[in-house]
Amino acid sequence: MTPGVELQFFWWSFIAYSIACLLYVVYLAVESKHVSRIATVFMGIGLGLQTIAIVLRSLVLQRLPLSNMFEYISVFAWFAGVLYFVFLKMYRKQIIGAFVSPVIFMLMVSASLLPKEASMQLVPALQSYWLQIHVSLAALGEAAFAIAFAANVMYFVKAGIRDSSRLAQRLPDLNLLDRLAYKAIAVGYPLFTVGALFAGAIWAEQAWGSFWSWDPKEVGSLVVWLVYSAYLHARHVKGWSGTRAAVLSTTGFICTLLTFFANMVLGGLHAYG
Amino acid sequence: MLRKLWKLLGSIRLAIILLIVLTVVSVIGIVIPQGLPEQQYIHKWGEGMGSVLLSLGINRMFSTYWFYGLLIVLALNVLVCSISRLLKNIASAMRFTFLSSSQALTKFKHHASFAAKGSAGETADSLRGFLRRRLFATRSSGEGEPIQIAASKGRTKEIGSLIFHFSLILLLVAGLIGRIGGYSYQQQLRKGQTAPVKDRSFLVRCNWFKLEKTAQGAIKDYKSKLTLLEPDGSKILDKVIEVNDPLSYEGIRFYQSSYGELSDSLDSIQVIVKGPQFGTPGRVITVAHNRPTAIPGSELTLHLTHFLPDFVIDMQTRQAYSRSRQHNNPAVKAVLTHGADTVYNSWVFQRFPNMHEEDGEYKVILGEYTPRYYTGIQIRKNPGVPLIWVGIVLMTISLLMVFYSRKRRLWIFISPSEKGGTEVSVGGTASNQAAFAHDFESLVEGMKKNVGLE
Repeated sequence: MTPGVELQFFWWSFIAYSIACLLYVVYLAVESKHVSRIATVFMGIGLGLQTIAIVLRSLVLQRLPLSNMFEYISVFAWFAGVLYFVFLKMYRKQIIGAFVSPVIFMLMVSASLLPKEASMQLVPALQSYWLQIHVSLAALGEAAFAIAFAANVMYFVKAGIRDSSRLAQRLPDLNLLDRLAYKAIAVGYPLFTVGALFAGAIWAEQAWGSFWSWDPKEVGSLVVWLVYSAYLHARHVKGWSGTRAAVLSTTGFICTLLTFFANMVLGGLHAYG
Repeated sequence: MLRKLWKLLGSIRLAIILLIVLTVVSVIGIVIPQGLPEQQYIHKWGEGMGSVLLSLGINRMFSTYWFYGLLIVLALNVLVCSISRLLKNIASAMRFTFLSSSQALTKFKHHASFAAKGSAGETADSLRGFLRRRLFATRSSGEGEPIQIAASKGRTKEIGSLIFHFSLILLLVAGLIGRIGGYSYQQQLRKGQTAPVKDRSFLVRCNWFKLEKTAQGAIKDYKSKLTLLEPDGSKILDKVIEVNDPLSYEGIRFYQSSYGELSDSLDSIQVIVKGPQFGTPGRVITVAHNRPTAIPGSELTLHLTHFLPDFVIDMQTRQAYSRSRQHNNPAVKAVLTHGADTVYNSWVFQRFPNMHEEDGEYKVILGEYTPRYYTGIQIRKNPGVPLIWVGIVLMTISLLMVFYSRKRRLWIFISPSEKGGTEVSVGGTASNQAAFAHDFESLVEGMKKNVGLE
């Protein structure tokens, strides 16, 4: 297969996600079942096309495409899409899509701006099956955090506008949003701990001779972990919920994004394309 | 005093403060680059600020004593919290509390009641059996009616939380043990070279180093074959190591960490020797560096004694040396001998083959050559490794226990009803009320099937 075909699918999925995002935003303004249904269909088409893109790229590379920033963000967005459908099935609230799809759209935009060449030859440090374990689990964990973030934003919107407004009535109630964010974090936190921190440490010990090197990305991931740990403690021990909890978990997601883009600026051991 | 300290170390407030402080410190450690030469901090942050940063150790923050102190306080905090809070939680999860009356059941979000056909005693027996099959632990109130059954399931969550915090302490301790009792250093080895290993009697030898490149010139792999030797020279074992595949022996690990070109030596060198007996094109031969080689079909011996990658002459001492490690002006010192007579002895330059055009009968031209590499081995001892593995495994298990188990409790009152038969009331609570709604329904359905009146 000629390399580059998979990029076609990436672009088509990008277009489908963009349409989905646009329709969901329209749905926010216009209460119409048709709009939300079509939006969800486009979301599914985007996810399907992106699945093909990822599968094709895996075939080209003979491994999962997880070795540069473009590939990572693309897989991150894909996981967020998958989790969206899982939560949609659980909660049956299409309006969640109006908040999740912009996050996916933004991820796709940043992926589209990054160099997309498939590197056929991995540097020796990356030649390990831990690459697939470490990076895919970390991406899945962070995708769950992205869903929590979308739930937080909904919470802030719902709490910030008048209860009587039409939008407020269409948004799920505050308790449900609070629980949705918690659910997503309860999924993301173990995955992030095991995938980003433990699998990363085990691999680092094999490749670099040290479990932990205080590399900028490692410290960044530690910060993400500390913030979500604080969230879980505040919630379980101090009984935090609602706005305070939402602020804390939003901070966690901002740290996730910063960590993620920081190595492009700061370099370090984790600076890969 | 001690009691106060215990209370402070066991407070969640301290835990939250520590989490915040660690977060802030970590962010500083990301923003301010770590481990640069000290002058760079002065240069970037100015004389005053720079020296403040240096004296606080912010240039190597994650190995300062105060940072270690912070981690130790965190470990103590987690330890005391585990003992004073988590153990209590487990104990309370194991204890079965009874409700004062069936009225209390109506306060639960999930409650139901139905009629049963058997006597109170029979009904209680079959309900206990049913709950046990659904993995609940049950206790019943003493004599008399109504009979009360308290049931609970999912102590896993509390126990998981305790294991989680315990393994966190384990990981911190393991890190500290590795820091105190371990070491890590770089050892450069040439092909055939042997070096001692710190703290150990055995030696390490590099048999060969190989650099593999793709057709496009990208680095594919680099590997070294290492042999461990007893002091008397007998072989213990050997292994080809590469990045991601180190050698382990008696608690010491050998990592392929880097490689580099030797600046004073070459692997194989192609030269053209011109002389009367070789005709116009000359004789092309490949020789090893610093090994006299007989030129076939002649009485001559060629010896390349020196190599400089970037040849330059010190004008004062008239000494030749290499200006850099870059191959800017590669040169070899070539000596041609005929028996005991030296017939040619000169520096030969790859870039300037016609340097000594008019001289003598013989001429040597330097062709292609392959550089000789040294291998960079990281030698590391870390006595904390087994503990780290235990910590990682325990923590992973505990995360599953905490996040993927459910805690639920049920109370059942069984009393004889006025119309004959018995009246059963059930109430329940769970860590996740929303998800419990469905489970509660199915539990009540199951109970009805077992004991209920048609």
